[in-house]
Amino acid sequence: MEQDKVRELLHRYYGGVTTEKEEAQLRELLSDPSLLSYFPEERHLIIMNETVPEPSDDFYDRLTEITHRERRMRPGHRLLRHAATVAAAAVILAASWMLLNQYRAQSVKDTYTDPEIAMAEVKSILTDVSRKMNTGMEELEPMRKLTEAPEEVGEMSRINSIVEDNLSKLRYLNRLDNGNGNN
Amino acid sequence: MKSDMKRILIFIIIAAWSLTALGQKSPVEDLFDRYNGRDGFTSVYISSKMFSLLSRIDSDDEEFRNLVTRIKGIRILSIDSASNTGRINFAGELVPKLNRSGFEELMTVKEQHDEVRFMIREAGDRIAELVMVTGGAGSSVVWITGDLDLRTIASLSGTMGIEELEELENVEK
Repeated sequence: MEQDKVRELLHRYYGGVTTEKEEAQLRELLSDPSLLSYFPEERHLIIMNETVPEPSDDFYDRLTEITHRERRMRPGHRLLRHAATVAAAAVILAASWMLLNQYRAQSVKDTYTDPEIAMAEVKSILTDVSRKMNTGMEELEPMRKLTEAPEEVGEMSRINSIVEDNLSKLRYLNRLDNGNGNN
Repeated sequence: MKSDMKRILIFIIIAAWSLTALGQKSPVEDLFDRYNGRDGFTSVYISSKMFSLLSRIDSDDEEFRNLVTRIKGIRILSIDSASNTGRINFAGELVPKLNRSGFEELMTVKEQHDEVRFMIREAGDRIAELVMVTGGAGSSVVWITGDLDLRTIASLSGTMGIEELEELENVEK
């Protein structure tokens, strides 16, 4: 009879539906050695403490410290880590850039395969560009002359000063001549 | 943990932004890609690889040879005169975009009904790109890249003799 009661309580206990009162009853029944001999594997239920001990005050703090501990790196290691990150980023960007350039280069193909014909075309293009550029330059020729004009004026001024000097010498001679006339 | 996530997110954003920037085409390249291979348009492309071959060809004209060694590529896009693409105006389409992409106008030459614009992009103290856009009926774009010497280019039409021009005519036929 008691064995059936224990079986029923065990069934409810392992089903997780027992009340505290039923659990206490189960422990009490199993504390009888004669009855326990039928359920040797349930011995742990007797030795199990009824009350769950409360965690100590600093339990959660210590737990947090252990589970959320930040890895403190030495300054050298930290610098190395940053350098590695930057290097990795640079490598990724350089590789992407090279791939992009390669793709672009492949997407446009040379019009000419014969260098001689390409050379002739280059000459033709550059001559055309040069001709049009020179047309523009010719239009600027009068402006260039204008910018050169002040230099020419400067030259004239220099010549004038030389003439002035020579004339002043002539005036000196003239004075001498007048002196001789007076004598 | 949060800071790690933030770092990864920042890295992803920077990488995505850099790749977008790298992948962005220049306005000229964009124009060529848009019209290349379409009916009524003719395009010519001479790559840097071809220019490296050209620099090995024997030439009596040392100045021209030096110029060729400094050019990395030439692309031309022109509208065929017989085609029905009268509404397309390369100058109107390209010049405002070039102005926004670091190009500067070198000069504009008006020839009868045509208007030729020369745009350059400088890299440091050298000219890295020259774009010649011809408007009017026979609209065309010439794009030259490399380490360009405008003085030498300008002097080319003077140094090219009649013999060389005749030679060109023969080759083109």
